[in-house]
Amino acid sequence: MVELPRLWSKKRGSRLLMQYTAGAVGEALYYAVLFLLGVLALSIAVARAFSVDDLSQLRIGYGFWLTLIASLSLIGLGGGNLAYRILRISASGERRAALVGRAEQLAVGGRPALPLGTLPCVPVPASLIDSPGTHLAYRLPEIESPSRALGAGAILALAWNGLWLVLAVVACEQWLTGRRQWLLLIVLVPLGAIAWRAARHFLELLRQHAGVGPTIVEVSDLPLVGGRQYRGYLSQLGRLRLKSLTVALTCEEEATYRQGTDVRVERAQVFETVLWNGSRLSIDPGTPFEQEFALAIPAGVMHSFQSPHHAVRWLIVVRAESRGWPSFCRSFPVVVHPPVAPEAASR
Amino acid sequence: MIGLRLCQPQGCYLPSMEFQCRWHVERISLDQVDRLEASVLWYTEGKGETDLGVAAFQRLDRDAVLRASGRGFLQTQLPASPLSYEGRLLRVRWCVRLRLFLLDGREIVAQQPFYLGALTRDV
Repeated sequence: MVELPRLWSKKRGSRLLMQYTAGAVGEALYYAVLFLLGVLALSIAVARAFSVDDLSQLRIGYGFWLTLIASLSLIGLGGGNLAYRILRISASGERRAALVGRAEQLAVGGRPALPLGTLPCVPVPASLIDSPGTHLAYRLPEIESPSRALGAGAILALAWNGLWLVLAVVACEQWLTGRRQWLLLIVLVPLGAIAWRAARHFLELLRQHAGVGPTIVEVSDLPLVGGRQYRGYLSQLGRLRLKSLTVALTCEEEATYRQGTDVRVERAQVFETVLWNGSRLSIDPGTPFEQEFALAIPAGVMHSFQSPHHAVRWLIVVRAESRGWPSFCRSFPVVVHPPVAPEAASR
Repeated sequence: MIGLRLCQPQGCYLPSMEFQCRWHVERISLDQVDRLEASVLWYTEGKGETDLGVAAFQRLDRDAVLRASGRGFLQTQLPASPLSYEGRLLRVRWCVRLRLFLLDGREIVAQQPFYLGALTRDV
């Protein structure tokens, strides 16, 4: 049954009777509009105040300063809240709480030293084991957080649209005062097209990331060792109708090399095994999808390897094919250690 | 010419295992030798630039080579990683390498590959 959009909503226990996606997108759009209104007001105030032929006739009264303060407040309020909303869309509450907890730890006495092995060319899993999980021992960080792309899209869209608004105000001011600059008007057309494209791109990203909530992957132990069995846990948040959801263990090789003056990176997937696979899943914002799976590292496989120009990386990859939203693929790095030789273990 | 002989007949070693090898200089007058370097190392092959790591290194000057009559023994404990690997983009190879520096400026290099680890050929 199709849900009608509601203006008002209420909470019933942990359930929320509202469209989570629409709310998040609406809030982000609201603050984006506030930011652009601020830029518009600021540019009008500045253009009016300084549009005199003779600077000696320049008069700046209380009205100008009032407009300046109001527009700067709008810019700050809109920009700051937009950034906060984007961060909220791309991270779960637990993740944010963990980040706050970590920041508090750092502020008080610094991060405690962790006992780590000293295996040559094997990456140290320090960044992986400093985040405890809620179901299993360690929560894995995502390789590329969607908030980066979303933040970059927001900055580009806001900066370009703000610039275009300033130029548009200047052009209008000149047009009204009879000093028509055709070159500026002509330049405004392609700049406006770019501004429109940037805004559309940002809205598309916002829609994509607001609907697809964070993916959480936890493992029972780290580092992993070839030939041993572990447990894994997957949690997917958001409001989704998924055709399929797959958790896979993959291994990829990476080589960095120079070609002329360019530095190129080539990757090749050399191993993949499906750990868990589900189909026709329905995920609601109030009840995240949760699934435990067995994580078996095959015996005799290459361990994680890192040298200046080469790497062997192990990843837990979550792939989803969804209805209505763009499909997504998220990767979580794990470190696989070489098996300990009997002689070394007995020492 | 340099001869190298691994003490492990198969040339396969487990991580953290003791590595031993014998070397000898042949058909070259020891009077021509300036110095000799012996190293146990891994290096990468394949796409991209070569990376190299040395697990053990020994340097013998002219007098030491003469005292040993051009024969020597290299012993070290192998590290637990990186294991030998045959991948698509990269290969990790282990070898013992001897570099002989002659008085006239020439260099003679000999190396003997070996395999560290159990099975990393498939992945």
